Amino acid sequence: MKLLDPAAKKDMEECKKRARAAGLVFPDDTLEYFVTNRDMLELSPKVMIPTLYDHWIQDLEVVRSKWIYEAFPHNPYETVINTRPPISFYNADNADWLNVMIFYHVLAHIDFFQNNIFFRKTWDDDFCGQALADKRLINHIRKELGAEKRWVDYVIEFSSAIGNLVGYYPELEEASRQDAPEVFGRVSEKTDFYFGHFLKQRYEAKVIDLKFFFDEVERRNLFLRNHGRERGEVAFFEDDYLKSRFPEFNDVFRKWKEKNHKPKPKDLFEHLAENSEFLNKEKNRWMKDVLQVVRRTNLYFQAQIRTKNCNEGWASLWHERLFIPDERIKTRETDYAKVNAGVVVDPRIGLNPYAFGKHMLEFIEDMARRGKLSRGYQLIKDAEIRKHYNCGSGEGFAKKVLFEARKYFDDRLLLNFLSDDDFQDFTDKHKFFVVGARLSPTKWGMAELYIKSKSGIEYRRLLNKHLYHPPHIVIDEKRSADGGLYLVHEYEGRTLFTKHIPEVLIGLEFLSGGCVALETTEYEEVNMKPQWKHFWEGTEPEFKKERVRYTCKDKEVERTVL
Amino acid sequence: MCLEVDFAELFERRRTVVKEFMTELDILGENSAAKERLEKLFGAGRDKRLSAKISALESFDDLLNRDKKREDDGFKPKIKFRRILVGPNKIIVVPYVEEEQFVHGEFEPTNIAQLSQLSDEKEKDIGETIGHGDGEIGDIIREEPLRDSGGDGDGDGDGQDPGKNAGQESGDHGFEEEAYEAGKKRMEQLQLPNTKEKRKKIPTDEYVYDLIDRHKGSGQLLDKKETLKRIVRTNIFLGRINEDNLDPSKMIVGPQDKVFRVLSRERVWKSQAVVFFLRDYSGSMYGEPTRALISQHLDIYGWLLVQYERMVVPRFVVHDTEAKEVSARQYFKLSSGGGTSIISGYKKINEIVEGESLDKDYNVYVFQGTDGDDWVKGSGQTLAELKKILGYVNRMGVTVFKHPYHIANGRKTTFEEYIEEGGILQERDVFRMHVMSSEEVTEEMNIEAIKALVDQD
Repeated sequence: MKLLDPAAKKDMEECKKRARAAGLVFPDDTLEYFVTNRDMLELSPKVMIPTLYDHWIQDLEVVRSKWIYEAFPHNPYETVINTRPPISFYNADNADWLNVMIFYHVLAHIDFFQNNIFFRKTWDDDFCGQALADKRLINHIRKELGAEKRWVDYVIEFSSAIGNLVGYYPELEEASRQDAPEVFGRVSEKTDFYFGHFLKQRYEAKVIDLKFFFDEVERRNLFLRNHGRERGEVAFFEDDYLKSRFPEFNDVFRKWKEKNHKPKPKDLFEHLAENSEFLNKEKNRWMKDVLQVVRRTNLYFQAQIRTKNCNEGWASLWHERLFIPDERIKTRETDYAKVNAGVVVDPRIGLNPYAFGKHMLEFIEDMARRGKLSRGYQLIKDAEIRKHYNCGSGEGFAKKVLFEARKYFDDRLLLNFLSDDDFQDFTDKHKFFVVGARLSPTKWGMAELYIKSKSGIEYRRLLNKHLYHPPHIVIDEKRSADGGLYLVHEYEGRTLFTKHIPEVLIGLEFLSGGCVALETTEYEEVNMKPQWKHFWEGTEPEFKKERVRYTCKDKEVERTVL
Repeated sequence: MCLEVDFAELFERRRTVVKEFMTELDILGENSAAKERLEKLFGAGRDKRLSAKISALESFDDLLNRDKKREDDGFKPKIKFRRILVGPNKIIVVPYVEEEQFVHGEFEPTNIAQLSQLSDEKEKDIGETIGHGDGEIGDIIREEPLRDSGGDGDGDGDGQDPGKNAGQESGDHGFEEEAYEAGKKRMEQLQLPNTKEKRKKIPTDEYVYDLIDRHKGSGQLLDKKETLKRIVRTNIFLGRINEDNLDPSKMIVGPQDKVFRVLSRERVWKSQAVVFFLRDYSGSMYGEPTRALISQHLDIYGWLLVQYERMVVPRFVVHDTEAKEVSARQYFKLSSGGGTSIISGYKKINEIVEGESLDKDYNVYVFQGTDGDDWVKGSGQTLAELKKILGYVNRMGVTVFKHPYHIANGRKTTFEEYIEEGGILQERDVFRMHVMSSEEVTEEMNIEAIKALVDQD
């Protein structure tokens, strides 16, 4: 691995100028490295973060990748790390002209990372530095544990088993509340305490009446109107009227804060760290550190997982728009066309996120350009009128919408932004369809794949089903009160993969130090028979839905139908 | 993406398009293969969930120690191994782990008891995904085989699309372990018996060196006894020995009296064996029975290597309605999806043995795997071919993977029936048959089968 040579760096800086001129936003300082295929293979199990903590399973992945490479040589062009400063890796085998195209692609990725709100929790982080600190912490724990260091691997393994349940959205929500309290109707902790606890308590004790409560609300609003949000609140609490009526208020608030104020755990990791007696034993406190490292790492990658189509579509769109007019493409037009076609090709069967994301963004931009993102347009049902509709909103608005899409969309929002009619236009334009597979009526042992439907609704239904969506599993606080852990899987039309359940529960039992239960929904066959029996009897299995509970105690997992 | 295999539809197809030689078990196996094939094609199914199914960097022993420690610490072993024979005397050990998480499964039934009366419309498709391009609704855009074939199949695990699951369990990689050593370990572990050899020993290219040749006057090691005898003889000739008053100090030692031992090069003579592995790769053997069978054959090969001190030539034959000799790698990978005709396999083995006169110089072994399903019009010809084999083999061992349907009904398979009728089971010195379930096969069941097949009375 080595830094770009001066000539390549100069090319990159030129790309930056042009990308900025087109509207992309990214920091001045970026780090670029040339890497060999071997480097790439070694970095990929660590998700291209060289400083990520070590775990033996990553070592296994390194060798697997090498084997894959030997069997099927492939050359990834680039990889970008979302960190500060942004780091990107370029295959040392890339041709110079190709690198220019890739620089544009990478700059668009960096722009996406640092402007899309789903990455907002990573905007201020130097994740490589954080990962290095975490790696050193884990190595230090291993060193301290000596011969018992394998327990670090167990804790990494057990906490990784819940890595996909990390509280990504609660973290985003908290950030949003802090950034825009007025949007979320959030009041300060002190105001919340005064009206929500202090006055409520006195009303229940009949010290004050309801009128007093409303008068106080009105008095606070008056202070806010007169002095502004921040100063108004201070003035409200410092006002002599309140001080004379409730001189004890500040002391009561301070004590309440000390005693009761604990933020609610945002996920299973935080719940365990806070409530597990086992983890909170002095000798096991290192496990909480490991748990936090695994949580942090999983949180970091959540945004990337959920924006695959958007992110790749955005990068593909911009490498095309910026590289084609670039004079450095001269004499390489055919080569570029070939490479680009490989990147953004729509496969006959299946989905290419690069192509799909690019098509969606371009389609939305074009709708904005023609003024189709309007209520008036949405009411038009005539296909011909819709097709030729153009109220000339212009390039400026189109660009604004495109960049807003980059800012606010993840894959799910991108896919579901358009109305059904608009999405139908999109599928028609790009000739997307639903493929059905049926047994061939003429050839034994063959299936026919045929065009089943061109319905946008059906196409979108299939795509939605395919998007990343981990199961929604919540903690039942009441039933977890006795030192155990009671999890409830909220059924969203999809059952859990049951084979994995026991092992995850055993890991959770270790971390929680008590009995662990998981409630979920499963299907059970009515009058269960082996598949072959149905075959012989010409019948079909029939299922009933039921709620079940898996309980893990002393590493034994039991299933009970509720 | 989403997949519902309509078994009723498949069943119906079975009635209408019945290929010659296809038995019911063949058709059932075909259906299972089709389901897996479409799951792979549409990106659904198990492969997606087991993305962490990977191979290992640490040495074999390190990995085993890691798992041993896990057990000591009260957790289940995590590292799994698959052994694959990739050529004569070469085994690949592929370790992999599976990282468990709470994830959504793929099983979402449409035929739900409480709702079934609401849905009259029956889904006729066996799968659904998305696509792109020209064409009208109803146009057929591609035909796909309902099962993987060629270099892909039961033995080696999964399909190997580049960049997807590529190489995950490829046979070219992994820990190379000499099959002989592996066999030795397994013999100790399973306590397998020694064989009885039938054929003469043949000289090999191996030599041993020993101090057994004698040389007068010079050499490596003085042969004291022989030297003393020669000294006595020389002195008797010279008349320097008085029988009544023996005085060794007066004896003369000539230069040629000293006899030394020198190195001698000796050619090693060994028995040699040829082993035929015969596998039914028809539709009915799809999946678990094939995986169990190749595991058994791998162990048996290791056992024979130890018995014959590496002088074993493996030959691999697969059959559906026709038999063919294949390479080791193909043997562990191929699947066909055709019907079943066991006689084709027997004929092939006899043809090879007779054609190459193998029975004269080799101890011949035949190990066969079948589900007992056979499309026969009469057992006479099959038995005749089988008896021909029994005429020259040291041992023939057949594992019958009996379908639970037959077990549940107490029904004998076609193969079992004609083996019993033909009195083959009485020929215990050369023939063994082991019957086991074709589903939910455990390692213990495989070991029991191996022991039964190689048992020596």
